[in-house]
Amino acid sequence: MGKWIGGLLVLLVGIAIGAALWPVGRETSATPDANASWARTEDGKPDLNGIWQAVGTAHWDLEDHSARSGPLAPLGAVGAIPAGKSVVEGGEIPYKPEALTKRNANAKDWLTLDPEVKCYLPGVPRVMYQPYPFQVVQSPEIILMSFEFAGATRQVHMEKVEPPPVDAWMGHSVGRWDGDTLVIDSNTFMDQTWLDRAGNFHSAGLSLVERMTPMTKDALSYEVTLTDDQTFTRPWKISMPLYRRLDKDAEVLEYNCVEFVEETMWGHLRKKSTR
Amino acid sequence: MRTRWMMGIGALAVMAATFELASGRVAGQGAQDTKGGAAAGGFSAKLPWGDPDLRGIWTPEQVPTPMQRPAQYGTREFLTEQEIAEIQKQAMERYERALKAADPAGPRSAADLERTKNTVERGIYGAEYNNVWMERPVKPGPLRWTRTSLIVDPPEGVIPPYTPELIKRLEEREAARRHRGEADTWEDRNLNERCMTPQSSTGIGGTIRIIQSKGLVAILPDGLQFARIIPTDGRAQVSPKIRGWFGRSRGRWEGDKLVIETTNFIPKLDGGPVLASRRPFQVGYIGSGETLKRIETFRRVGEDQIEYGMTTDDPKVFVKPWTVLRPMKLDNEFLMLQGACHEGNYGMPNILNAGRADEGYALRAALEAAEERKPQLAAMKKRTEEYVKTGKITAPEPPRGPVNADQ
Repeated sequence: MGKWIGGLLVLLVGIAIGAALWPVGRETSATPDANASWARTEDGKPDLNGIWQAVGTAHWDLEDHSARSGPLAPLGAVGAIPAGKSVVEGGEIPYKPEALTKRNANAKDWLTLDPEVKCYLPGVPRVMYQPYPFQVVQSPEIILMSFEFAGATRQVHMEKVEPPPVDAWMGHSVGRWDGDTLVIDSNTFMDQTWLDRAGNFHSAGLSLVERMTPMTKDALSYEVTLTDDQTFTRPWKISMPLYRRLDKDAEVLEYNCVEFVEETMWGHLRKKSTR
Repeated sequence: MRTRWMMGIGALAVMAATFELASGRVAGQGAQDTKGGAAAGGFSAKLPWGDPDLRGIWTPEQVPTPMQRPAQYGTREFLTEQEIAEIQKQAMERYERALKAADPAGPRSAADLERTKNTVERGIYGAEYNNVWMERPVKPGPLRWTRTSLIVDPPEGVIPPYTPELIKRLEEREAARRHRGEADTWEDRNLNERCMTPQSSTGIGGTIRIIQSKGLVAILPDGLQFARIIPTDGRAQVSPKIRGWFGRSRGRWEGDKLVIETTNFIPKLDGGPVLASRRPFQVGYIGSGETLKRIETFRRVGEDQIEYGMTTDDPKVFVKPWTVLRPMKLDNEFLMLQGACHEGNYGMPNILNAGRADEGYALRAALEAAEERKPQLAAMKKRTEEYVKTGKITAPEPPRGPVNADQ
């Protein structure tokens, strides 16, 4: 009898270990045990459907920064900038000297130069950690990411696709599964998008490798390696979690900001009133 | 340069999409069947979770059908074979004419030469770049879509009249336009020029990609950015206080048919209280959007064909709802490009700058005229002063400077 129970236990432990190791070829993931509870799509991939958002200050500045006053005094504490720790591996972005000079000039003239202020499509990876939610619609052939800010979208092609004929504001993204990690290779970017509100930038030569891996039931580990020989001395990496929005009936709403920047961009071209 | 190109693509795509739906452009034809697509039996492909499979890239199919039914057809719903043959012949002739017009070495009409003789586009006649939007009509043959109008309801096949309330709004917007220039502010320009996604008010007029996941349908229009993500899980509509240019959509499956209801449009789909300058009233929807309810249906009627329906119901704008039905065909080879309109909108600052420059010219012209009158005024003043001093009436000096016709 005891032997029988012992045998059963060994069998059960064996099944458990087997199940844990089953997705063979799976690469590193933040906390592999959590994957057992991760919902899966019909084709067995982690189900990324849902509404996600980064929480933190990367959108203000990817690097370490203290809290500071904002650029518009009337906004007071509402418009001030909170402190944050660097999300850059090693702390600092490895700029080439001339690029660092440009970054500093960008930071100094932030309100005038930042494409986000003008409601331009934010590019990648910036769009991933802006303080707005985005929705993932996952299907085997394509993974759509639809962002609240400016209604930006990314189509992550999971099947063979023609490269685009021209550079694009949101780049061109091709995805593949590496075990339970969604790996996205992106390139064909414009040189007009930035990385944050601190003037960090890139050139049109930017290429990205993003890795999205289930961490817990409601969080993804998000890592990006940025390569851009014109701007940086070497490839560098940022990482942060993306959190699932758990609000009841969460929905990505419309933030068509073009309307909100017409006065900002063209107010000086208004007809002067004669009355 | 890149930016400008992208902007061009964005703007033209919007224009093309709007035009396509508004006019129901008569071009070529689709393929096989002989009846309207609606009559076809249907095609059922299911996704693993049981929803009908609509995934793929769908593009409006060439049909011989205008948006509104020409009077000659009365209430007849379908074209005869003879009429189709005639339409196909005309489409091919139009296409060949356009090709000829685009040939740089080809002959030019006197009108073309006259039209472009003093412009910066000398030597550019339009056909060269307009032809990119033309689809080659396919060879004449039997059709699977033979309706006389895209509008299937009301039975007259035309857009119903506007309500008195809408006419009043248009009159008010015209009145608000009076005393305004063409480019006092961006609000004097139309929504296309402002990159304000006006296609939200005209439904689907171009190529789309449909992506499906459990409880969700996403529609991604070609050449634009916004994706519409439509929950089909039966959730309630958001509060009417939450409104947007695209409205909010809720979907449901009625058998094999996807039905999408969209409300909560922002109440300025027509551009707001001031009528934009230089814009003819468009065909289709010209209301504010406040009470607009749009019902769209997608039904797969063949492996490569969807029947797309769109009902526009706005009691403040139309005296009754109306419905468009059109076929879309599967085209997974279609290259979907990203749109970026606002990012490359050099047009708006140029238009506003031109507006200010016009005012500058007018002001300078007025100052120059005043300057030219100065000696005349001085002479008149001198004569008056002499009379006041001496009581003597001197001969007036001959007029100088500009002489008005009424002098």
